[in-house]
Formats: sequence, structure tokens, C-alpha cells
Amino acid sequence: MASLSQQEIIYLISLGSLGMLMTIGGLAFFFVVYQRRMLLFKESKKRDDEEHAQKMIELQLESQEFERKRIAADLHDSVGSLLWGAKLTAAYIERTGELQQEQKDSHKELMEILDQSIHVVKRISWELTPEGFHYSGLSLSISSLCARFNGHGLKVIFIEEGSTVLWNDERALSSFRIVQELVSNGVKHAAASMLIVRLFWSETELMVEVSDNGKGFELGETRNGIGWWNINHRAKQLSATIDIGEPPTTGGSIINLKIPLPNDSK
Amino acid sequence: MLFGIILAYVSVGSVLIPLVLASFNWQNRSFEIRGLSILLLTSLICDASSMLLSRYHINTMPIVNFYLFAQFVILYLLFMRKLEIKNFLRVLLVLFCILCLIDISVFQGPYVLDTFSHIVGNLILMALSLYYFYTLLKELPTTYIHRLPFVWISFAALAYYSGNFFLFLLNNYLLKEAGSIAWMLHNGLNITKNVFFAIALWQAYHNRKLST
Repeated sequence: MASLSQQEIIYLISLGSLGMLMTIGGLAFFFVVYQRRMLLFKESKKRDDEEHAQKMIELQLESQEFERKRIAADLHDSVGSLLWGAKLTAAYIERTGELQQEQKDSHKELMEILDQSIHVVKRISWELTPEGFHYSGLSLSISSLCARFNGHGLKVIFIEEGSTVLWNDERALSSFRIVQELVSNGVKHAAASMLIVRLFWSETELMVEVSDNGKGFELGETRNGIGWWNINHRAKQLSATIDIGEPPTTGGSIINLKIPLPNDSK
Repeated sequence: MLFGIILAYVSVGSVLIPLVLASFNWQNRSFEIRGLSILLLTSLICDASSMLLSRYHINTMPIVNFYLFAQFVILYLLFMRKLEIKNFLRVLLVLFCILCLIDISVFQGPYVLDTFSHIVGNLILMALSLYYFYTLLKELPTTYIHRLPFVWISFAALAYYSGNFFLFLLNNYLLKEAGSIAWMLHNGLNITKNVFFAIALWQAYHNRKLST
């Protein structure tokens, strides 16, 4: 060490210190790079998970729609046909046989039951898959839906405003399902005497308002039944927003739905 | 000169901190903690024997050579456990051992510092630690990287062996007279290495406590 000049010693100590600093710097740099990569990885994984969850929901809703169609077709083609067959046979018995008054009454009752059954099968089948949705579109289907619920102490009013368009694609069917569920909820749980479904068509979106004069419900209440699950996921799929509130009149509830319209439906 | 002597004692004593922490990890049966504990114990025994022999003016280079070789092998085996390229590493280890044998028996002998084989060892361990960091960045095994004890062991290896490599170049090619100051820098590196080992053992202890 004695043969080293002062300058050389300073040079060595500086180099040693630089080496130490570089080690610590390298350590910090590695940690920063690692954390950044981990953050990016987590973000991408989160995105993938969300996409996967969305895909799963879409598949679930698709399979639900498929099942609805299958059950509707089965009801219509098998139970419906059998009932029609039974009605024809019953009519044939009336035409060919000499029936006494008591038998005539029973026959009449049977025909009424068969008519009712055919009607119920048709209704269920329609609710499962609206007949000719692709021909009639969203507005007409909702209008038919309201007409079907009308009666038995409940008045269901359908109002449509704005420039109506024939919207009949998969998104339209999803929108119909949401309205169907909201109307059905109103009929089943609201104990209302009047239910109004309003459609407001604009250039960019469709606003749906379903209101009733029933008992309403708690705003903070958690809604996690299958019906609400379907509504929420279909709304998410449509990038739609749902607002739940009370109408300005006393009692009842009001639900607003804003569905962005695709370009080709305008 | 006094600073140099103090630094030498601190360097020898610095091994006690990780050794105490290794005793905390007595129940930790993982390969890396056991390997590290053996390495620290070897370091303590070799340093103590060197100090004792140097008092009687006996050449301590055989002990230094043995220690550097043992340190290389233990760290190498630890890296081998962690890395996927096991077959390649096995062949490399055999080749390195042959090289050491030739160096010690034919070229430099046990009574001088076997710089040739040590420099090759330095380069190998530097490459292994860099490769380990690369695999970490590729695989991202955990969110909190600082909790992996082997990360600190790798840092210790990288800092110590890269520093030693620099010292070798300095001592042999740049400043021929840098002998004692080079040893001082080496002691500094040894303390840094032991501090990183201590962090590794502390993390292993901390992780075990968290898991229980």
C-alpha cells in the first residue's frame, strides 16, 4: 500500500464505492422492474378474468335462450299437438255419437278445458320465445307482452315515443328479456293495479321506463334472485344502465333502462 | 492500516449475524437454508483457522483455496436446485472440478491463491445469478419478490463474485501494488455478502412464522 500514490488510493476507494453503489442500484432496479412486470401481469390477468367471466355469462345467457327455444318448441309441437288431437277427437265424438244432456255437459266442459290448456301452452310457449320476434321486432313484442298481461284487475299500458325502428337482432331480444322480467316482476310482486311500459327512441339510445302503482320496494334492498341476475348481466352485456327509483306519485316503483343502440338499428 | 485490520475483523465477525439467524431457522428443512447454514459454518471455521494459523506464520492459502472452492460448490448446488438447466449444470460442475484439480496440482498449487480457477468460478456464479434473475422476471413467481430468500442469496452471490472479479482484474492487470487495499475491498464485499445472507435467513424465518 505504501507504494501506491495518494491519487491511486482515492481512485481505488472511488471505484470500490462506485461498485457498492452500483450493487445497491442494481438491487433497487431489479425490484422496480420486477414490480412493474408483476403489476402489468396482474392487470392483464384481471382483464383476462373479466373477459372470461363476461364470456361465461354470454354463454350462459345464450344457452338459456337456446333452452327456452327448445322447451317452447317442445311445448308447441308435442303438448300443443296432443291437445289439438284431443280436441279434434272430442269434437268427432260429439259429431258422431248421440249424447245425453249429462254427457253433453261433460263434453262441453272437456272442450273448455282443452281450449284453456291450448291457450296456456301457447302463452307459455310465446313467453319462452316470442313467436316471430325477428319479424315483429322489439316494440311489437313488448306491446304484445303488455296486452297478454292486461286484464284480471291489472291494466298494463304500453306507450311508445320517438322514431320507432324495427330492432330485431340478438341485442333486441336481450332487451326484450329485460323488459319481460321487469314486467313479470311488477305483475308478480308489486300488487299494482296499473303498470306502464314506456319506450323512448332516440338517435343513439332506447330508454325504457317500467313503472307501477304497487307497493314498491326498498332501494337499499339487495336483489340477488335469478331474475335480477339475468337483468343485470343482460344489461351489462348490452352496456345498458339501470336506475331504480320511486315515481313522483305516491307508492309504486319506477325503473329506467338506457340501452345504447347499435348503428345498424337506427 | 488500523482501518484495514478493523475491517478484517469485522469481515470475519460479520458471518456471526447470519449464523445466529440460521439458528432461528433450525426447524426450516429447506435445501437452500440448510445449504446456506453449512456455507456460513464453513466460512466461520475457515476464517477462525486462518486467523489462528496466521499467528504462527503458517501459510493459510490452502484453507483459503479450500473455502473458496467449498463456497463455490455450495452456492452452485443451490443454484442448480433452482434452475431448470440441470443437465448442463451437472456437466459444468464436473468440468469445473477437473479444472480446479489441474490448477491446484499442475499450475498454481495449494500454497498460492488459485486465481485461474477462482476467476472461472466467479464468472460461472455471476452468470448463474443473472440467469436466476432473468427466470424470476420471466416467471414472476410471487408478488413480493423481497420475501424470497433465494433472491437475497443471489444478490449476495452477484455482488460478491462481480466485486471479486473486478478485484482480480485490478490486482493482476491495473495496479500490481494494490494487494492490501484489494484485500480491504474484498473484506467489504464479504461483509456485504453476509448482510445479504442475513436478510435471506431473516426472510426465511419471517415466511415460516407467517405460514404458521
